[in-house]
Amino acid sequence: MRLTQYSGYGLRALMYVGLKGEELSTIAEIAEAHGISRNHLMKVVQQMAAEGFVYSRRGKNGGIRLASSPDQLTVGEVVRKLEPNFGVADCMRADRKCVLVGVCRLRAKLREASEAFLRVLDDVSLADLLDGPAHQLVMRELLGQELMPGSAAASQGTGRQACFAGSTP
Amino acid sequence: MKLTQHSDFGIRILTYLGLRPQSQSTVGEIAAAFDISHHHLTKVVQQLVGNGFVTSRRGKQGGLRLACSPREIRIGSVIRALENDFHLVECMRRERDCKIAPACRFSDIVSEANGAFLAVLDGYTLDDMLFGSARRRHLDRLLIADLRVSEAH
Repeated sequence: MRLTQYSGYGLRALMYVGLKGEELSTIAEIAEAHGISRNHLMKVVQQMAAEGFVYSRRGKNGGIRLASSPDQLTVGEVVRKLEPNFGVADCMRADRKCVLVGVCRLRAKLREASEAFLRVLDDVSLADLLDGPAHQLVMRELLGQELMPGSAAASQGTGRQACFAGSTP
Repeated sequence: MKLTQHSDFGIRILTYLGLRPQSQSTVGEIAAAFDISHHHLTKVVQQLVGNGFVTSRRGKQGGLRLACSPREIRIGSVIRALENDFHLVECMRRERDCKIAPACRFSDIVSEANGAFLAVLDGYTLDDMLFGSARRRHLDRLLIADLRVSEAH
């Protein structure tokens, strides 16, 4: 049982923009900071914009930022949207369909177990992943984000304030 | 997020053996019944034997059987045994894969969620999957019918 690369990239992008606050970030910048494929990132960012997790502005000075404050976005919500086949096994795939698929009880149990998994993630917000000024400094350093005056980590706040305080729109 | 093919096949093997408590089954027979790769199945069987879920006897009268009653085989422990290289998220596979891995809290949260996932499956045994004699007959018919079809080809 594992999460896909797709949702992993989605969460990494959310953490990146969450740390940057209101300042827009480009796909290229996030891809480079995380050392991941720009194309793969593009796809998941498009979905996250459509789901309303991020705000996206086109054009030369375009980019993305969080659509709401990080304490409003739960990890469970993100994973539920980015993992449409959550909690399934290969036995349900058309090309590998199990002969017992119609009568097997495993699927119902897997669904129940997956719900238990997601409920844990429902209790965690993006703000929880980024909380704490010292923690933010370390994360920013690892991502090579420059510390701008008035930015999240520089403002020493946490949660909602951490990501939005002091930045100019 | 999905169960790997490895554990999917593992559950299928145990289901098959659970339906035939009195006889020895072969990998070939199980592969034919489910119409899946013999080679891949052999690997999963080895692991099930290694983990004490299945006994394997060599020789002409040999074959595979459940090592204990289906009531004693917890689905959670099967999944745990078969997914022992458990990297729940891509970034956990290789530390250097994700730059923020040293500070990231996500992997701890996913591990906790995984514990909740397995705890649910620990509440069910192989017997729960097979329970009821009508159900057993139904499962049995499906497997045997499929075996006949694949032999005819």
